[in-house]
Amino acid sequence: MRVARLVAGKSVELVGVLLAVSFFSFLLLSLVPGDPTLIVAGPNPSPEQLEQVREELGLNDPLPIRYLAWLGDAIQGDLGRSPQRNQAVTEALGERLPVTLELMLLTIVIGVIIAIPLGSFAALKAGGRFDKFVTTASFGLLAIPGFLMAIGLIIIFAVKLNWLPATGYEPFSEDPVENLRRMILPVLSLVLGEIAVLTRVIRSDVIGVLQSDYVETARAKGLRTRRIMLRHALPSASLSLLTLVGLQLAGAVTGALVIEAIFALPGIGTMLFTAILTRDLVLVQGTVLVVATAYVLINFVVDLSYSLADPRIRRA
Amino acid sequence: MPDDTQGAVAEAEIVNDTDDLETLDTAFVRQPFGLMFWTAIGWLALIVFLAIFASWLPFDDPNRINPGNRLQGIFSDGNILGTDSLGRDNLSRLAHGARISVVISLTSVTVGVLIGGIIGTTIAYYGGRLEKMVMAFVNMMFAFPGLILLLAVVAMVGASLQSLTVTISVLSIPLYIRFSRGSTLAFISLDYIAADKMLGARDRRIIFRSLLPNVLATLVTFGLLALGGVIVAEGTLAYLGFSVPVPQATWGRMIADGKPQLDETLQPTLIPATVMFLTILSIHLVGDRVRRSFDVREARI
Repeated sequence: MRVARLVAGKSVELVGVLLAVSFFSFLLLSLVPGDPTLIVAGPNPSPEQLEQVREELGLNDPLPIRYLAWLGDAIQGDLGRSPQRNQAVTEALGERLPVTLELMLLTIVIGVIIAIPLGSFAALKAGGRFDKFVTTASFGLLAIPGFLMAIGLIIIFAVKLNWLPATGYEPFSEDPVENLRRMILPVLSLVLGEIAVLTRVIRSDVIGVLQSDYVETARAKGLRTRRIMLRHALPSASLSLLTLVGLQLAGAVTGALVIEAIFALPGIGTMLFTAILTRDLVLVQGTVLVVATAYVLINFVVDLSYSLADPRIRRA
Repeated sequence: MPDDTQGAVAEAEIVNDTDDLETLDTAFVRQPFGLMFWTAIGWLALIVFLAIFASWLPFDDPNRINPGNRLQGIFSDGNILGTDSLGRDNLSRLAHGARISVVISLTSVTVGVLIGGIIGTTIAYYGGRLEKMVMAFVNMMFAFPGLILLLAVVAMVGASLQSLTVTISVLSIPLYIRFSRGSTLAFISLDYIAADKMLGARDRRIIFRSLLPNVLATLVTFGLLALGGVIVAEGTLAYLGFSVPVPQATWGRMIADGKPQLDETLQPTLIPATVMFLTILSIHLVGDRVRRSFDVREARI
């Protein structure tokens, strides 16, 4: 019962936020100084084209009507057409989604796999040499924003050592090995900061758990450290890890967009930035809507699974 | 603005930073600030000094193009830190770039701390429907990806120092509202507030004289760490070409400008990148240290 009410409450919230996100994306075009018709129609439009665009944008209707019409289309997957690309916005996004998704997922998965043991070992011998190293390194890594990391990695691995390419992409379906090779630097740019954040949190969580009474009891029973860690400390620390991974996943959306642009990967980010530079504003609007919606949905799922995973809520 | 940032990501990191239970580091609390702290302060002071006096110091014009003098190395004649691909003086561009970073970060954090602090403290004090409404709005803002929001607004309105500063300030206010509300709720149950009420103090007096000063102390620490997040956000935008208009120098743009010449020379990229890294690192060091000495939970021990 309580779970159902929880899900219902959060879903109502979700709808509210999604409406806000869509309204904001809708309003974006009206923030542009000047006549949006001229911008949407692209360079050198004929008067007929202008009239047609004005009709398509529904600029003759009042704002709320325009919003509802636009939202209706958007829900059905019609985000308008990009005049510069002469392509439907949804189609353009679909083509580029796999690149962005691959980058994001690789980052999160690798980040979690590396950070859990690092954080746990640091916590086990807190104050020791390994812990000091991990704490200092993660503190330093946190001061390096993603694009700086990317530049640093390009300098080291592409320019100086010449081991890996600085830019370019190969579809996974064509050549999986080459695809992964070209993903190394982009993923590394994102994952190092990721590891730093996750390690710090896991470390302080595990330290907290290790000081708790039930771990003391487990020790008194004579359980081995490994068993205490795996059965007692980590599951308990994993709740906040779950929230954090969710937050990071949502953050990785923006991170991935930026990193793509640096490594010239043909993903959503590269497309978005090009669209801004070429004033392809319908495409910008559609991309912002889709990215923001994805971000909101990720947060929703994380929030929900966090509540459901917490036994105090689940079993009540 | 939600976590991310890079702005968003950085925010998530900051939020985490402040929550981080440095259980074992409590021994440091009563120790002096130490060399690292003062080095960091010194570095930040240097950056602020350069930002303020960039136009009056004996630097070249940061935008003077001199193709005959391109890509000079460090310590070359007349250009201590060398020149970029257009022959512009790196040191001068760094100093003028510092101005952008300093202006945007200090302004937006000050605005955020003051406005967010007052709103957060007030709604936490009165509670009720007003608090619910404001917090619903705040949570909604958190649901947006910060950098994308910032980018979208700047792309539509056009990038300038004003539009960037205003947008970042406005977008970051919810962050400070949430933080100051939380910290007010922690103070509000303490005895001295109850004493105030019993003595018949007015609401406004309690909020501004008893709550806000305490909340501000923690909020400023939080804002200190947020400075780094803002610098990263602006740097990212500038790197992508969406910050203040060309040819205005910013650190992010200098890094982007240097990138095509990486095969020839590293300096034009490496110098601004290092400066930016050291600045963010210094902000983290100072912020973290100040946070620890303010942290009631740790200071008590």
